[in-house]
Amino acid sequence: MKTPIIQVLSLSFAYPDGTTALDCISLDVFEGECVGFVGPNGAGKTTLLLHLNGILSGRGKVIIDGLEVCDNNLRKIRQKVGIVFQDPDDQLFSQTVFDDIAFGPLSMRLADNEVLSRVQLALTQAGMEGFEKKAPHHLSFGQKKKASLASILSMRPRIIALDEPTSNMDPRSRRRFLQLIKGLEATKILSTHDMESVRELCNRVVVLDSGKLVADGEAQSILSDRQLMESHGLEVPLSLRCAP
Amino acid sequence: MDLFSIDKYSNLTSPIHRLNPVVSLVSFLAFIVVVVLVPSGSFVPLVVALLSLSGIALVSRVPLRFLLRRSLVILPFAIAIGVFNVLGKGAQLVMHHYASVSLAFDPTGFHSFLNMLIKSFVCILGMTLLVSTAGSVRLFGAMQKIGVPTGLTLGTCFLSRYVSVVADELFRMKRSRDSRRAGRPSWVEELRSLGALIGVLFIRSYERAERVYMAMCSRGFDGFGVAVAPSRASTKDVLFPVLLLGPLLISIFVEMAI
Repeated sequence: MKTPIIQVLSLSFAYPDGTTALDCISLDVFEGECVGFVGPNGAGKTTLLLHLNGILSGRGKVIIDGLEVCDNNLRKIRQKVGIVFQDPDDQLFSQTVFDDIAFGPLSMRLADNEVLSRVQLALTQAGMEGFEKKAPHHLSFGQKKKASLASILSMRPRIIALDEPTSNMDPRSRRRFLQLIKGLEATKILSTHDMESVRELCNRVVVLDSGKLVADGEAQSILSDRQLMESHGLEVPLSLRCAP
Repeated sequence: MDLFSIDKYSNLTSPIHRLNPVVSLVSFLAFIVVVVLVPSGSFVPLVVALLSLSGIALVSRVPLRFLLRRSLVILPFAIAIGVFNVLGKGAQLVMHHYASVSLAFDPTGFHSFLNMLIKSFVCILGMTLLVSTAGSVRLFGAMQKIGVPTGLTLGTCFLSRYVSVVADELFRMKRSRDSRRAGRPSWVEELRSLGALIGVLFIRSYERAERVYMAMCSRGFDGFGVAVAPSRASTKDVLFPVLLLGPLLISIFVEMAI
């Protein structure tokens, strides 16, 4: 039997002000899957993502590729799980695109020549060749998003978690970014409100609402369940509504 | 918005730009220390220092206009401090009366005032040249290499990265405030809303700092500064401090000998 690459076991989390963000969540994700976490604002999607590489830690267990997420394993876990944050200005904190992409490999204490080759490959994968010397604040929003993705790819993670990957993007940048994500071989987790992108990329959808997991199943059947979607502040994607 | 594009010429190609950043940093720092130590009243070494920097500026192809504009920023501060050297100091004071105000001037103080102005200008010109040729990114790497504490290097790094992001946020908030304003506000209202803007900006910056820290941690940050190490200094690099400091030191010794 296949072992899940991500195991979340009875995970609960409350913020310091007492707000319950996750309420006894359990789920398994298998290698190669592309899973969409959907739900209304405040459903707990981002909070769940942040548990995957130990940025937050609540009650319950998260196991990544056989390793429990705990202080002793954080270094290994963070090499396995890359998170692309919603606002690229949070993710790109260095002076140049090169430095940001090199940050992960350098944190992994890799040799300089290995860092350079990883940065070069990540730039190519993200379609950002020639931008390495640019300052992040001189990039367009779409370019910043691609640079953020490259900053994760250089660590060669087995799991890539993307928080609202297409928010604030114009249609062309969005399309290109989705194509980019589609081409990645890693296991992918998307936390988003963009139902069209979930339909396009994900083979499985997990619906969260008020910190609870309310549905988990095959993407097409969940996304086309109008009652389920609307009762949790979501919508059936237009492409499914218009489908014959 | 790009508030602090101090290193916008750092991508030029010239022998000065190709220097090892550690060599550049240490050479310019030593140069500044020597300039500061030039005895008050000695002007020849300062002229030599200015000529050396002008030569470097010409070789580096960084526009002189840009260098002057950046360097002259220091003058108002230098004047504000240096003016006390002229007023009411020294053994031979000359009294001047202007209407009902009497001021005591020290003629010898004028020399030290001028000396201080030139020194400040030379030092800031040196710093501007350093940042314009080495570039802030390579300089941060060099700072780390020479043992500047990681917290200080990272803090400077973040300041230069996020100052424009924070300024953009402030301008967006101000625009939103102004678009909801009818009529000219009194200065009390203006101050009150400015206080609120600054408060909100502080909270937002604090929250952003937390998110940036999370992004860093998620890529394995463990408190140590990370940067690709600068390449090793070559023999050519070693010539630079000799050329930068040599004429200045010789002029100081010659003046002291005379």
